[in-house]
Amino acid sequence: MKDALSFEAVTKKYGAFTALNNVSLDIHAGEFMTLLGPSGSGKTTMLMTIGGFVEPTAGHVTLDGQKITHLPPENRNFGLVFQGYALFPHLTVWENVFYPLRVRGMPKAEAEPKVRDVLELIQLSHLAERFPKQLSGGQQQRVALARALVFSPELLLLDEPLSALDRALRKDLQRELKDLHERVGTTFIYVTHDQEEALSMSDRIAILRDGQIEQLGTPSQLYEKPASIFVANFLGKSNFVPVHDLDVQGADVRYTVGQDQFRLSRGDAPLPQTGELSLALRPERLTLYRNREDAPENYLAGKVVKVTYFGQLYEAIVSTQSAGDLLVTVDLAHSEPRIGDRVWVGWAIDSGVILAGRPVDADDAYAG
Amino acid sequence: MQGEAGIASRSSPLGKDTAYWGMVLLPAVFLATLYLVPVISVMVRSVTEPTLGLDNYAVILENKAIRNVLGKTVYICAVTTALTLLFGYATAYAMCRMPEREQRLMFFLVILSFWISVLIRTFAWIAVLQPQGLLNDILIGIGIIDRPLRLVRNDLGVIIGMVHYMLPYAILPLFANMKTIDPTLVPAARALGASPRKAFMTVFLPLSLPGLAGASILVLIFSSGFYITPALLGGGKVVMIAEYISVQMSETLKWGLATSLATVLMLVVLALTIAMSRYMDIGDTGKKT
Amino acid sequence: MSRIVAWMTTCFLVLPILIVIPVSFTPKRYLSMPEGEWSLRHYEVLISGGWLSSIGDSLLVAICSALLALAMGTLFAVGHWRLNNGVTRNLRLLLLLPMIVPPIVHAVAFYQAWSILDLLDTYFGLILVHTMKALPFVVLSVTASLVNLDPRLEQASRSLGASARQTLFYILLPQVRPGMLAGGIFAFITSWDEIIVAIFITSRAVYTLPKRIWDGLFDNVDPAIAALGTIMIILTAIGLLIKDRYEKAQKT
Repeated sequence: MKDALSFEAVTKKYGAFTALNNVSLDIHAGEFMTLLGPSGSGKTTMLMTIGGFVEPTAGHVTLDGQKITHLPPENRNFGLVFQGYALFPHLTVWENVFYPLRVRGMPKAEAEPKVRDVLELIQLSHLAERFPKQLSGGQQQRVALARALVFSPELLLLDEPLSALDRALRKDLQRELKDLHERVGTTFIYVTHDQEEALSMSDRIAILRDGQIEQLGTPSQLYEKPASIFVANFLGKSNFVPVHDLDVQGADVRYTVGQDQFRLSRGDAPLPQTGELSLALRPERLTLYRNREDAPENYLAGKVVKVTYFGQLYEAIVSTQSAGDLLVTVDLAHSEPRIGDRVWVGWAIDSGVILAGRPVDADDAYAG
Repeated sequence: MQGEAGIASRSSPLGKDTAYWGMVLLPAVFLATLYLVPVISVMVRSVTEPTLGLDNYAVILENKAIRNVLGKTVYICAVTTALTLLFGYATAYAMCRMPEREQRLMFFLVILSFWISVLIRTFAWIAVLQPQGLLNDILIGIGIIDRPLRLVRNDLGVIIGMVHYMLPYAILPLFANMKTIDPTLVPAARALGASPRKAFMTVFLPLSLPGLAGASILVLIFSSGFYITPALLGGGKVVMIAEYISVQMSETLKWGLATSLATVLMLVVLALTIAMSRYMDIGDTGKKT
Repeated sequence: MSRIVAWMTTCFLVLPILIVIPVSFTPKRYLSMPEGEWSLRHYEVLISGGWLSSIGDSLLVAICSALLALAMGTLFAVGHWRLNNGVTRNLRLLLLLPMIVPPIVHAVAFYQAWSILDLLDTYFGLILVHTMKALPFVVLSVTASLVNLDPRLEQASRSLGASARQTLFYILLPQVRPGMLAGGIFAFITSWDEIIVAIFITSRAVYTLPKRIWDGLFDNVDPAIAALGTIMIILTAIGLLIKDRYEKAQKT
């Protein structure tokens, strides 16, 4: 796949504070790449560097092989959608969308069809004469998109565009954005701190932490095979079971929890070498059994201490002796777990990832 | 996310922002050459004319006539400031507690007075205060006095004219400042047992002190350099520093003296301005002490 | 209690000014009240050559300096808003200096400087000084307008391909129109009313209205000044009322 944009060993410092630390990333043409991370991780700085508003202290930004590190924003031909939409309040929807073509000196005859087309694409043709303050949040968002797309940019940069919207609207617009991406084919670089958004929309995700890329991969790669406790914690919820005494046997590895030994069929995933180890287990990979005979190869005994009802499923917290408290997702096909129930918690041999370290909060064996 | 967006907008180096540097530097260079140079050369001339050195300043300190002028200036400014703040504070305080329509009317009248040119205002006072002016005519007509009162060409006339000019400069900032004081505080003090007077003295007054200090310094600053009103209402008998400087420029041509007095005045005002900026905004984003 | 004092103070403020109005109608040649007879002679004098030409001089100087101050002051305010670093903050202090320095000091400074540059008693010389005196007001006014402006509008405009110049004219200036208007009016009035520097750096060729009034106040106090004052009071009152209406309309 062709590389559209390359971020090469970029560092950005503000005095003593390092926002980006030697970050490298290749973004493929046409992909939907998400930069995901908590506040202060550097994701917006990275986006702004790509956009041309931040000059790196070191490193380069390359587009199709050409260095654009010092090119001013107005010469980069990237679309940028801001968190607050930044629609020009004194211009109508039409004038807002027309603006990029106007400043490029495009003749009206050529520009008008483009504006009309993109307004139809986002289904707001009927609101062309309105002013931004007369539109709802979702509509403003779409106008911002239209404005950023009308000049057929090489790249579309989106800085947490949906964070100001309420949940239901956000879900709708996530779907619309994904649709738009498929129809238009432009490379999307999307910044968010919402992991659900990242998982549902992206072709690939780069998780950032403290100015560095912690892990890069497809959503399922990151979710199923997190490379660190941070990533496992950040995407979805995970249990972290303390394990020790690894015994590698080909594609399998045996590990010990407390006194019991279990098996993990890990394929060629790398194993941490030394120090404290944890097994990251997703709550949905754990199943509760009332009889030990029904449990699979890996299981632990426990007692249900808390049950929370979520409509589509239950979350149960099961207290075990050697693995601490485990968070288990129980779907409605099984009977409702009750506090005090003695159960067996089981998981398949291909479930889980062995990671270095232990979670930071000692009493949270699970997180989310 | 706020912090990140803020960082992003702070960062670009000169290359990308040449246009904006141009916008900032054009007026700055304009002022630096055509304004700063003349003003600084005043200070320079004060130590180079008629001879190099601080002679002019020595003269200021020793010469009796000049000391009188300075003393008169200080006296009149002090009295003006005191009277202005006294009545200005009372007015602003009353405005805060007035019903809205009355407040708007008073505000309109104060602002109207503020916008009228100082010449017209001084002219009005001449018309009222001069020996054959309105006030004396009325008083003589009613029979209270039979010879006109001396209300111009003396300290009293100058002070009246100056207080009149300064009042809006005190009322407006004081009013703006008082509006920011939580209106429920005084009633709360009363509910706790304080008399109206005590509530005012222990709750409202202390809270309004920064505004009061700021307004006082502002009035002091304007009074010290004031030329028009004292010159017209003082009639040559009451000479303040600004008029004295103008005489050196236009009549006696003592440039050394004129520039040194101007320098002294300017430095005093700058010092007062710095003091004032601790209490009031001169357009900067809220600096508090 | 304070209310009484407040109204007394307000009367003290306003009544003397209002004196000007009846005085302007006096039939006599000197300052007096019209006792029974009301005359428009002093208003007629205003339309005569002398006063009219001074009005013209003042208008010319005020309009030119207001426009210059508006242009430069707005540019500075926008540049400072965008850059906002140590250098521009210090430069801003420089820009505010003409408002802080006492006018008499300006008179000394420019009398000296303009005599060297041969700018005494010229329109250009006076316009320059008035522009400088007006700059702080424009800067403050436009800056106040910019305070609530979303900086991302500027970034959005640049990201969409607009140069700094295009961004300034298409996006930023339309947003600060209120500030520019207020600043322009302040600048105009600063020049229109300016007297102290005018006294010293103009004499015959340039004869602004305040200078004429000043001279009139010294010799024989001319009631024409009262007529002028009356007109200015009325215009100011109307101006303030319009501003009030405008602001109310903006709020709805």
